[in-house]
Amino acid sequence: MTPTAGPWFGAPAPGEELPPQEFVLTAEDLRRYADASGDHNPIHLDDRVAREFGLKDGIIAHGMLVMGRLAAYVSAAAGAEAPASLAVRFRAPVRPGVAMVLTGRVVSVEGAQVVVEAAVAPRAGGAPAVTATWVGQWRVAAAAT
Amino acid sequence: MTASGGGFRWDPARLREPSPAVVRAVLPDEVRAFRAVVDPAAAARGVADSAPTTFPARLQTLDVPGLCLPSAGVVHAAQEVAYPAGRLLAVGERVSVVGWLESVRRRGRLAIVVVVNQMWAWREDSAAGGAGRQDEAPLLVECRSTVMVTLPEEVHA
Repeated sequence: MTPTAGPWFGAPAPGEELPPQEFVLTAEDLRRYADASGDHNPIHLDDRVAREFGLKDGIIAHGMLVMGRLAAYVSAAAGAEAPASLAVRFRAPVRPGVAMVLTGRVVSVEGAQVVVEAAVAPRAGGAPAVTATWVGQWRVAAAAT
Repeated sequence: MTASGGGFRWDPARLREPSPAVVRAVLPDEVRAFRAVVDPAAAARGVADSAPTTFPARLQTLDVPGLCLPSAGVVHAAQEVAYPAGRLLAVGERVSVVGWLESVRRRGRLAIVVVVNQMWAWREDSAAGGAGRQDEAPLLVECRSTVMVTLPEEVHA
């Protein structure tokens, strides 16, 4: 199904796709997140140290930051404050300055409870860096069409 | 499990001690829906020598030292997060955090580690200690983290 644009109204159906959403994390985002979370691991903050640890392209984003982006992306589409549960696999690092795309697809609907499979992948193509299963209540009001 | 002298020291019992904390801040919308950040400095007593950082990122930075480091050879990581209370945490909200090692399987240098972290609503008796006291408070977040790592040579030895 062709992704819709803008806010998504109405109950979803299995197979429906959420509108893709692009984002680019910056080194400043990582610094802010480090300050807020207390996770100052230098592989997120210092290119030199990151390279010393084998990350040839330098610093990488905190996994939790990327996970948060992904969860918020689906939750916003659902109109949910938070998911009921979220299962995530971290498959590859996300680096600042690299354009990423969030995608999601509804896989099942039981009443108001919806299961969405979502991913974060490089916009340029390639395998997802993060995949997730979001389970929660779909609270977006029915479309007034 | 905490770092000790550059090696590993397994101490799951200590990790079970509840750690009072205060929700310090949340970043803008991109993470608001997922997580809150707790302030370990506000803890009456920490759960480890080095300050726990975030929930549930404690796994990455505390429970498995070097886990984040490529030299440790992270092969795979997964997390399952549940929100039993169905609500977000508020900035300034007092919470209590516990975490423990659920299992560790080692085969040579390869280790599969499962850590569980929980965040409970704060109750006045939380400070009295004892994870059992937490039973009366709502469980806000539970996170089960699974990682497969190749341990550094010095640990394997």
